[in-house]
Amino acid sequence: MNVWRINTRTREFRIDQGPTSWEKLGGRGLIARILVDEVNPKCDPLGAENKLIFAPGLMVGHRLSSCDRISIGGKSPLTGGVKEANAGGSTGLKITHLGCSVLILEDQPQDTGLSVIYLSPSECRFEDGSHLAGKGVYESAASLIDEYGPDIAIALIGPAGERQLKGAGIQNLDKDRVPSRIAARGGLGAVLGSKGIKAIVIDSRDGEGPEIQDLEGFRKAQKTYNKALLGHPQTQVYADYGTAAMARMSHSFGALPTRGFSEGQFEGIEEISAETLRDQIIERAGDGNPTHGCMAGCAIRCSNIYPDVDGKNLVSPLEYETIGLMGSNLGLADLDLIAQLNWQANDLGLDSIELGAALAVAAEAGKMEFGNGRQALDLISEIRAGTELGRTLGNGACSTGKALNIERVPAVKGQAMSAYDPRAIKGTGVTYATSPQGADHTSGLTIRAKIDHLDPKIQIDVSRKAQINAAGYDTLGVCTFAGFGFGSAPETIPALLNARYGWQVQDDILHRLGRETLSLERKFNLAAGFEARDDRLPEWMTTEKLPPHQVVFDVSDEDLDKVFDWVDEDEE
Amino acid sequence: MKVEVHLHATLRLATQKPGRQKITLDLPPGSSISHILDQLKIEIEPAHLLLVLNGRTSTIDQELKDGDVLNLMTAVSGGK
Repeated sequence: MNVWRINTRTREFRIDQGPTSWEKLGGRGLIARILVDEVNPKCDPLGAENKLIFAPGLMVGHRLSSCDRISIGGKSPLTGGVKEANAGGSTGLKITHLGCSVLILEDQPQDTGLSVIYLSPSECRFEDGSHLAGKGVYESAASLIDEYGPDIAIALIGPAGERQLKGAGIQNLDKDRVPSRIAARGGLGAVLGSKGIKAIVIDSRDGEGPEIQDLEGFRKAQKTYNKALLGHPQTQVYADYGTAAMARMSHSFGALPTRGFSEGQFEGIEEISAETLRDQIIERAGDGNPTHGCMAGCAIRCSNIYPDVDGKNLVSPLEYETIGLMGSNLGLADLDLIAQLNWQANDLGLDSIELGAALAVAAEAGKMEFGNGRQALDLISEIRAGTELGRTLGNGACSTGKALNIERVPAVKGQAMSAYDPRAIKGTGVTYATSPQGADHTSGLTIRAKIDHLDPKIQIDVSRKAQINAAGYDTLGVCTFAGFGFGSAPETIPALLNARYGWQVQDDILHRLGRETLSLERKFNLAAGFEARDDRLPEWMTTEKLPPHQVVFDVSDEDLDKVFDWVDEDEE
Repeated sequence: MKVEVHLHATLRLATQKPGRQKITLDLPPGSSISHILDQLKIEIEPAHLLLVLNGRTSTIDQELKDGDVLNLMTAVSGGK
């Protein structure tokens, strides 16, 4: 294992082998391990003691379909706890082709200058980034591609990250060099900004993929996995409709966040549905594409390019969580407006979930009217201008609630909920409440489980399994949608790992990795000061009834405290 | 009795009138969700479908009543 460490103060670069306890981890699990081993849990997330970790998952490096994701992590400025956010695109693949197993940015410069870090298999150098200061993500990425050539990967921040706003993410290029693959959640863009880094340029043209110990075994397992993935009916749904298909699904369960999480169904659902999205993309043609892959070699291709009426690219991709938080949650039934809001969030380098939630809180405080997209765009321009209100919004939903004196903030551990109202999908509510990551759409959604989502007594087990799976896949660097393929051919997970690394892991490796990751994350949070009372939804969601089912979140505190009790699971 | 059926994503192409997201069916009393799947000629096996009746997860043999709203979508199966 090659651990690349860059000290952002001294600019010293070194490679070490890392302890043995790191060797069988990648992605989210490795981040948790490193945080526990090396980062003071009480540190200031935007100070010199925090580290920013780029960890490709264990399967990353070989263009296996949907298995090249990059996990980025550190102590979160938004939650004050452990944070891992992951993204597709090319960063994960190209980091492994440097010969790097994990990249750790340490310390903090004392001046306020802005740098670009250039990495190749043989070099790490700091370059002046002052010409990119204050520039949006799209312009900055184009400028870096001009400078370093078209074959690089880039991880970069926008003005929000430079200003260390807590809603800032880190963006990555997709396979077509569009910088829209954001490791969005938890404010990691602010951590990169706090280290004076605008972008990391990864040039692995002279590198090669990680070694495979048993090539024949690897190819055999890959073939079985590909067949299972392509044969799954859900793969076609994602190819044609993308994640946006969740909009009508959530609506049908009465769980679609609407006007500040005040209703679970939206009268404008047809206008923002995946079906309308697809029909509009096809009708408008031009740059539009309803079936687009974010990573090279992806067979699912759930992404899209959404064009305006003239066929010109408005934003890519337009995804469910954004449609939920910046659409129905703002009362907006207009995909063009949602796409414009999304582009603005991307260009500023902000998490569209956190920003959408913050805007709805601002709407409740009278700063905009629900359903008025122009006013939402005006509020976002305050962030760009750096006004006090703009900073408040850019720091997220809780910051906005606090500043504007609004109690109804849909957040856990300081992080806004994604686009499933937890009162109508209570298993997801359990995940929001108890995940060490805060309310997070990547931590274990339960909407697809064939259960009564309103029954408070059956959700703990469902959430626990979903959280273990999610943590396992995020440690492997596997896209959650590839889970359909692996779910149909679970034997291919140990087969691929054993063939690549020469290991002898067992059939339960996915769950072992998931449990180990969650245990490490809980350990870090405990040391950071989190308690059982932090594993709760906001109180108003336990008393305010959500239409149309007129339900509250009523999973008991006693049950919530059992989610990470592994004993039952281990005894099965 | 009349039942409103919402077809999600690829399923909207599985009907006799492709492209429609919402249809209203007139069914004899005592019909169940499986009658709707037969009538719409949806041949995906039930394990791969998610059936949401009046906002709650349902099963193929669930008997229907007048005014019910059924959402039909593909589900994930296999694995956990």
